[in-house]
Amino acid sequence: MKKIVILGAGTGGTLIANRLYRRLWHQIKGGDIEITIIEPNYWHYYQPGFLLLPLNLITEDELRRPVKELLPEKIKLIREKAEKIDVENKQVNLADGDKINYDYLIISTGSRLNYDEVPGLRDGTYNFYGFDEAIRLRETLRNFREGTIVVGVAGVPYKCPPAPIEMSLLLDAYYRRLGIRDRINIKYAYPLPRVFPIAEAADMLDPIMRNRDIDIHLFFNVEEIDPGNKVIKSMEGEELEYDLAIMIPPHKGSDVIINSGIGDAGGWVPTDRYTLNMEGHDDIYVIGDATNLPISKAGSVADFEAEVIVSRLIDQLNGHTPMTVYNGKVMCFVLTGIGEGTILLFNYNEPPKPVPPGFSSYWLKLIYNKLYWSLTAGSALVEVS
Amino acid sequence: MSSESSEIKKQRIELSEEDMERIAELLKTIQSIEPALKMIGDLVESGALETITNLIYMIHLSKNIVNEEMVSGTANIASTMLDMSSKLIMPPMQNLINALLDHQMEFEEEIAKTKVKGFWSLLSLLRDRDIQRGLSVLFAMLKVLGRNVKIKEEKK
Repeated sequence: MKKIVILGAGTGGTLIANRLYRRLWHQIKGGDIEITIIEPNYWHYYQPGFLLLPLNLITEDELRRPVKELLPEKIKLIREKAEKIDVENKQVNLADGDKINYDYLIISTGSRLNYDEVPGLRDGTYNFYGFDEAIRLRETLRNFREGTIVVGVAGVPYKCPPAPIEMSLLLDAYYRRLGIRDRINIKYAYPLPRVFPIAEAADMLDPIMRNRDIDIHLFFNVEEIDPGNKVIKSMEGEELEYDLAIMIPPHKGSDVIINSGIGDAGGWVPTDRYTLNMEGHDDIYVIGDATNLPISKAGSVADFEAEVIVSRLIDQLNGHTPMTVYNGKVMCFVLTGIGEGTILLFNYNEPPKPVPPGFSSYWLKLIYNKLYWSLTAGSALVEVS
Repeated sequence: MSSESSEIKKQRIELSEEDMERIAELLKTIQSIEPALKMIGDLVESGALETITNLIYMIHLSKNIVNEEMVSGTANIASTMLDMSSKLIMPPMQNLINALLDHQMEFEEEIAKTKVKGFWSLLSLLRDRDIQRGLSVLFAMLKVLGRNVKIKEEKK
């Protein structure tokens, strides 16, 4: 019997598990293959929805489901924290002392927020990069009717690159709807010399932001936040005063990657950009945020990567040389207001050709918010074989 | 010919510097304009333009009629149906449904033949091996259903 172990049941882990289940149904039923997924958390979150929660554009119930409900019964779920990946002995050591052997391992451990990198970040700011964080921000925004809001990035890398732009534009739309936009000053602080990492998208988004009276501060690398005086200081010597700071914390790889000594300085796993194997290990794949690939950390990336990993893994199980490769495909919905948005599609070789913002992309986003559970996490359209 | 060229000259004289710049800008995009115009010509000739125009109006009207709640609601239904249909195409369910749907004529014949007239006819039907197999499937389904309804209720 071949043992496939998936570490983490976020977007990448869950959809890999469901895709493998559908593609290997007969082998799993016959006892030739066993799939185990290790995840200590009870909830699976639809993370792109966190952006919408602070403005009450989505409800809590739409954002989460129990991990167990998203997995077929034949997939073994171990609700325990993984402490270490022992690549030499091909096993995962759990916090309760158990050791889980694998023939193939899929690392989908995601990323976590690293508040400690920036002084004052934890106490002085809000963000929407977690379920509780997004609710906390929503409760503050309910009564925020006057003052300066700084939306920015406190350090790189961070997942979903358009998110701070989207939040700025959504806030703009929200306060215009309330008729009090003139009382709210929205500032955008970004570490790069343009508003978005990719020039083609930045060229489109920059004028939209300026037309909506968003005060843009580029080359703003956050050094520290002074919650007492409500000031954000940059390494470049600029200071931004705020009444409400929505700052995205820098991200870091998972503890288990760092503890296992298999990651780089940030805790990201060195990954082959085409095969998605952990470098030097044909029996280990890495998916989603956990990789060190120079592409967006986004759910869509995990979706496109999963297709490649499943195909390669099935080829390996059947004794064939895998041929499918990942081309760096990324898709990002970018909301440019309440009721309008655009979509960015790009890959390793082709930059995005953004379409002008409109209602259709916004509707697609609303539709996808619902379809995520069946189409992506549930892999409903993957053929059963 | 000469009157035509004088007309062009006249118009040229009337064009301002700003107009000339705009025309020059427009000419830079001629590579995009030419195929687009050809495409429009083809659409007009084939009569497809009218259909497309109507479709655009339909989308435009839908956009104004349908609100975001309706879009989300429709997507929710689609998601639930996708979820259910994806479970229906799993092999055990497929076998079960096919067992019934692949034999519709036989089904009709059996309906005509199989009559429950009272307790004794029911007993005699229970001796039939096919009915025993069918009942086993039904009871197995009831068992799974009962067990999982209990789990769902406990969760609440």
